[in-house]
Amino acid sequence: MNRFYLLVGLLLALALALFLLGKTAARHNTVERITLDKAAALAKAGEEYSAVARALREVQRGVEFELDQRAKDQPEAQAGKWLQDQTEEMERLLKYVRQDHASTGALPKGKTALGVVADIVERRAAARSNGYDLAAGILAVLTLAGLTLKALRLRRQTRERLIQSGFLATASTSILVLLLIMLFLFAEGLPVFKVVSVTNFLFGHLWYPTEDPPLLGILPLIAGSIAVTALSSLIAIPLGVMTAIYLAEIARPAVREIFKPIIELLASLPSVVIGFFGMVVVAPFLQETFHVATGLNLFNASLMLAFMSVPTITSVSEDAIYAVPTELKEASLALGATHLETLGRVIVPASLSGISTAVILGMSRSIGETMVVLMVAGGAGLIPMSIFAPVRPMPASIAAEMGEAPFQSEHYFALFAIGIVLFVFTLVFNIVADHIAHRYKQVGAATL
Amino acid sequence: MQSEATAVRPSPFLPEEAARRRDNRRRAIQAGVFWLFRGAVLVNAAALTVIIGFLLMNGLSAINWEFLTEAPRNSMTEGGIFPCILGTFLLSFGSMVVALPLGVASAIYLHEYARPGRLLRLIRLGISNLAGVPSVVFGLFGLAFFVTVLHLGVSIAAGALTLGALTLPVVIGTTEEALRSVPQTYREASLGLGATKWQTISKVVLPAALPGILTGSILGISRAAGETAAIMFTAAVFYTPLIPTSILDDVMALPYHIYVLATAGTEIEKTRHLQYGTALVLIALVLGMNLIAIFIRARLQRRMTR
Repeated sequence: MNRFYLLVGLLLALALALFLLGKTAARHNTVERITLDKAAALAKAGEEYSAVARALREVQRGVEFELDQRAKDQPEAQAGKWLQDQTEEMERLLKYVRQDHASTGALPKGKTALGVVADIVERRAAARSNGYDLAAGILAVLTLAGLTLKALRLRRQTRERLIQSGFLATASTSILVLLLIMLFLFAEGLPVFKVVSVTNFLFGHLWYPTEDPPLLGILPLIAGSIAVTALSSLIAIPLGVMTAIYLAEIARPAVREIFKPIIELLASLPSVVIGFFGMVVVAPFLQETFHVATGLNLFNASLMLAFMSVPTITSVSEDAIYAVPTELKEASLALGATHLETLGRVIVPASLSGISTAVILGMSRSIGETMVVLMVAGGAGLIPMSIFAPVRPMPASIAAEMGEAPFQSEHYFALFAIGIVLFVFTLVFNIVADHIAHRYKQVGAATL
Repeated sequence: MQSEATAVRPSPFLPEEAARRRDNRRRAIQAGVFWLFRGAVLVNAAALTVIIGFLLMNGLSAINWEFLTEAPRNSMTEGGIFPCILGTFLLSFGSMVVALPLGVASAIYLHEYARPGRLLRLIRLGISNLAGVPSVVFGLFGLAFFVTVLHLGVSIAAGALTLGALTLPVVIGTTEEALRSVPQTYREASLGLGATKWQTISKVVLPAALPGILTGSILGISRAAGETAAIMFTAAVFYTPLIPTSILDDVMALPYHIYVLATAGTEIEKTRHLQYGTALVLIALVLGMNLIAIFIRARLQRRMTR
């Protein structure tokens, strides 16, 4: 009992400390104070600037000068360090201001450029304390909730039911996140259909988003995605399923112990590393061996993707093969079938639904994989005519172009719309996989 | 009741010689096909070995104390990768701060409280679909929601939240596995002593499942550390020499640094050794964490079977 109140006291003290720390963080540091002074002074002098950039330069010069002056008043040893710290701080602040300017594009109505600068400085200082406030708030609310629960002396059943509802609410977060993802994809992606019809978007042959007016047809990107997924599945499905059968049915336990972790490690390799390997090793090799124009092409990307989806296919299929009741296997062996015949006619057919689920999940992984296709697919927005043609699958297009697309331009909306198409693809794959897994679940030995 | 005839004769329907030849053929086919399967496994092992071996061979020479502790210099053609290591560290641990409480609580609901039914099916469908969402779509979501709507900007906070959403299914899956490995008798013993369900979970089940949950969080961290597409628009920047001072600052990150150096650097050929070195540090980090997780899991399984 005493320990409980001690804990409550400690947590509340921590929350208070965080809150006070936040207030200290909100106070302006040297650079921000000087920047605000300069901005205010310039604004008072009636200076009107056409763009924030010019105002920024002015403020920057003022701040640099001021900092120099202040450094001179300090002991020389400290001055250098102090000046460097403050200069870094100024760079950071300027970056914020520039970022904000870049994202809004134009000045808001009725604001001077310097007013905008001052706003950003204020907001940044306030934002610094917001994180602390939030953490302190959550901590305090949770502690007080615990305290209230204790003080209310609820009946055991009521308290248990409250706790259960809390867990249910948390478990729904995943669905909430999924819904939020859909909401934001649609909110940012649908506006593109004001400038291009759905049919032209999905079946247009030309993807030139930076032209004026932009040509937004994503058929080459969809074709690229489907081509790499199909080709990589052609490699990954036999490889993955055979590996799964070997590990689940043929390998001795000692061999299994070695190869199972290897497959797990293969699954955990970061995609950027696999892409990098494809770029520096596989691409030159392909170029020399097959005398093709570029080693960065459909085949290379498919090969790299195959090794990313093999672990998924293997582990899911392996579980399915394991789940086949031993009675079936024993019955087949007792009839005189060899191990291979038992595998081919009994075990694999019985686990076929699990293996199909595995294959679909593997394909879903390939179609959504980004870094590999971004680095090794070649990036040409054309419908591929050979397996050595460079392609530009959908994820690669989003990742490569989002950095350049102006905020909320047609290009930006179009990239989100590609995100919708991609999301729908993987959603369908996953729902089909889930459906197969539940519909044809092997229950007991008698269902064959 | 084994008859003498079947034990001696391979088949009652074929002449003895033909039956024996047929059995030999069946055995030969089986041996051949099994070798094919063995070959498939070896191909995978070879792929892993080649990638790791190649990076070790080329990257080891780039790694020294300076490389690990200094910032990049001279438009990223010299110097080290310290800001990237720090950034990856902050992002992956930040993602666990988000995903671990949510994931563990979700798993507790799914495994300890939920009864089979439509609601459970719906939640599971949500989780499996969340696990299937491409990482670049998570990136878009993070950009639209955390960066723009919540005004977090390109920052550690936005990146950690995005990665937290991305690793949530991983944490839920591994935690559930950990809860499943706690023997049912523990729960029955606790409930039998008159403890409530919550007391049983918090004082008996969770402590017993803790090593498994730890494994889950290690796997989550390693997944987040290797992720690139989700942080491209939300947290990572091309270059910043500054050490972050708050969670609203942007950072460099190892995977994004590899991508940038390998594709968009000013001198791609000249910085090759830096690229190998960075890739080596990243896989050492990720594979190291995975090995630890595999090791813990193997020890747990041994304890369970004893």
